[in-house]
Amino acid sequence: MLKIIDLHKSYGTKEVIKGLNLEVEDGKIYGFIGHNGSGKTTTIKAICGIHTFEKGDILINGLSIKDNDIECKKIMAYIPDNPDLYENMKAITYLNFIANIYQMDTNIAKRRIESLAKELEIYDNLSDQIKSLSHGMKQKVALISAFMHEPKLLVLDEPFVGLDPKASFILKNKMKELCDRGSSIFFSTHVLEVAEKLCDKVAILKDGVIMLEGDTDDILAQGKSLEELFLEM
Amino acid sequence: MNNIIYLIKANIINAFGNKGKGGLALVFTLLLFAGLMVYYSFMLMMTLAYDQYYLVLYTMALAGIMFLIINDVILAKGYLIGFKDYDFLMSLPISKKDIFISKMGSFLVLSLIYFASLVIPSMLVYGIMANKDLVFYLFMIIGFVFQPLLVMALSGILALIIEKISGQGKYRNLISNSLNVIFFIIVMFFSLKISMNANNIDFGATLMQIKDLMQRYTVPLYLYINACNTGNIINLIISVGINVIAFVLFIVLFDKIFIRINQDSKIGFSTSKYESKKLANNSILITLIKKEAKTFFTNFQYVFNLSIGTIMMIIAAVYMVINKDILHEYLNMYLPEFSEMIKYEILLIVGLFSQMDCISCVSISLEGKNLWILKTLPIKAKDVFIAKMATNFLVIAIPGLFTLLLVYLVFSFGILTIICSIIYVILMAIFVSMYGLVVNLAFPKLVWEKEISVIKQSASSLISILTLMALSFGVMLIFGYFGSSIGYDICFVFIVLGYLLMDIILYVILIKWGVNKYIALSI
Repeated sequence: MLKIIDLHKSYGTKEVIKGLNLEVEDGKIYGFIGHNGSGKTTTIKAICGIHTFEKGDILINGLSIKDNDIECKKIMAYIPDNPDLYENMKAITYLNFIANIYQMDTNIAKRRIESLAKELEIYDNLSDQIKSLSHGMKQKVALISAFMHEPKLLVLDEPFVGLDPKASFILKNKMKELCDRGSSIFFSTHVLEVAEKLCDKVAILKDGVIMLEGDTDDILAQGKSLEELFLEM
Repeated sequence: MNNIIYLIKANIINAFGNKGKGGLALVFTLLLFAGLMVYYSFMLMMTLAYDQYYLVLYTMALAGIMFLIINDVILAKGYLIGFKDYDFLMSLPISKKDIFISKMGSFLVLSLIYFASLVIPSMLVYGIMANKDLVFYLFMIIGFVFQPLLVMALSGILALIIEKISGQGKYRNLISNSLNVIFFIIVMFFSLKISMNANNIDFGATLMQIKDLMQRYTVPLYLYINACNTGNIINLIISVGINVIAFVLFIVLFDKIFIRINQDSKIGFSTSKYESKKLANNSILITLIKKEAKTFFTNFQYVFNLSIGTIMMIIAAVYMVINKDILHEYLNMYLPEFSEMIKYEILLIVGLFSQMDCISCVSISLEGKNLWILKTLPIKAKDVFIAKMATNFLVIAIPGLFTLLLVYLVFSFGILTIICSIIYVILMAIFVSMYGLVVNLAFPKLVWEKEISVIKQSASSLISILTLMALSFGVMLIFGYFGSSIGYDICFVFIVLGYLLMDIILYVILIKWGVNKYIALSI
């Protein structure tokens, strides 16, 4: 579903991603771990088409993000670590906006929005201006906007930050459900316990280079936790 | 006391932007104001006898104060009500009183800066032209410090009233914007009424009437100007006294509600319960246009600063219709040989005003931290551009075409000119929309704290507005120069063709260069 081939990305003269290669298969959850400034967010933004890159390619369902960005984005959804949404819109207006962009059937969109909102316990806040919502509630609105059109690839940057325990639990279940339907998930996190339990595959990034990658079970079978391996790096 | 000074200093530095870049834009704007005031003062004095020069002093001071009132309403909203660093300041070990005084102090400093650029230049021109003595300059400086106080008080109260009326409800932004626009229209009409009140065609007599009306309606300002001109210290003291008393009363009132009004302003619109309703079903383009329109119309600073040309144009056109007979009389009496040219120049002036409404020049920048939404959604760059331009186009074209209708009521034109003028407004609206977008793509400013720093102080905003104004004047000069030899209607056709050509060129630039520039944007 997602394939990154020899990705190079620089900010000015500073190269932050140095020949990154990875692959996320259909129906799998891939955890992307790294210290602050390692290049996780840069990689994620390159995948989503926010950043251009100097060398390499990113294929989403076989299509290059460089040459077919619209087609790639149609099957993808992204949630940043700090979702800055349109503050003057009501939550439902924003979600309606997203539904229209993805050209979703409005009845289906409405049903999914309301269902997700009930699960995440923000149903009664859908008419509120986004400006009036707390950080966690904004995060939930962003999650609804991503899940409602059932993307083939879901890209999340630190998705558990700001969520209450119940919402985190619901998010994990939603991620598993999505994968069970054949979608893939690529997410970065600092919460290594979550990565151990949730991810089929993980990679540890350091200074723009993958230092360790593999199936989570195989990595943990070596006798060390992800935390220990991360700290060793 | 130290805290107050630190806070005022921080506010002023903030107003002038990081590393002075925003400051350059602000300084440039103020110098432009000052330059225009000097120019108009000088030009007006040239039309009057020496013993009538003092009339210009009153007129220009009045014009300056009108601008200051409008500007201070915007400043009041930024400094006294709903200022962005409220949470941060309240969390610091600084008393609420010190925060309040620092915001008032910052407001005063900026009002003084604007007052200095709007009123003092005219006074200096008069002082030099009329060979005034030291007393004139002494009174000017002494009174200068106090003159903005009454304006600040009035603007602050008005901003407060608008905030209270608009409340916290669903239509808060719409109500607030509408009230601010209504206020601006009232100020404009009042200014026009004062200047045209007695229907007097004699220019000197008109300015005399303005002075007399000021004596009735703007007493402190009148007394200040009079004191400077005549050396009457009593008038200066009374003027200062009125300003100080008004300001003190304002501070006493505002101190009581300062905290509450700022807390309330932070709360967005919130209902108790969501009611399930049908979702809107729109195409991608319509969805984007609706989003752009909402962004524009819910932001008072965006609406006011970048559609002021439209508002002024409609007011002027309505006023022209009401005073149609006087206008024709004036033209026939004083400018009979130019009356035909002036008819066409007025059509071009519709374009001049409209080119002040370049809202697309900040539309990319205003995405700011929200840019990731557009960039990660399956939206073509071209559709983003069309949506941003469509909003600008509608803001220009609809009022522009309405104004044309009013102009047709005042002057008669041939059918060719009428068709050309309609096409002119449409092509010019397309041009302004595209041009602004190109400039914004060339000079984006995606990192900002206050929207006003983008709308008024960004390179894109300044470059767009100044170059478009220069273009308008250039077009009018060309028309004035060539129109008499080849015929005004033919010249007008060529101008329309010129805008068509520019539209085509800008379209190519946007498709070939603009799309790649947008793709490369990131924050």
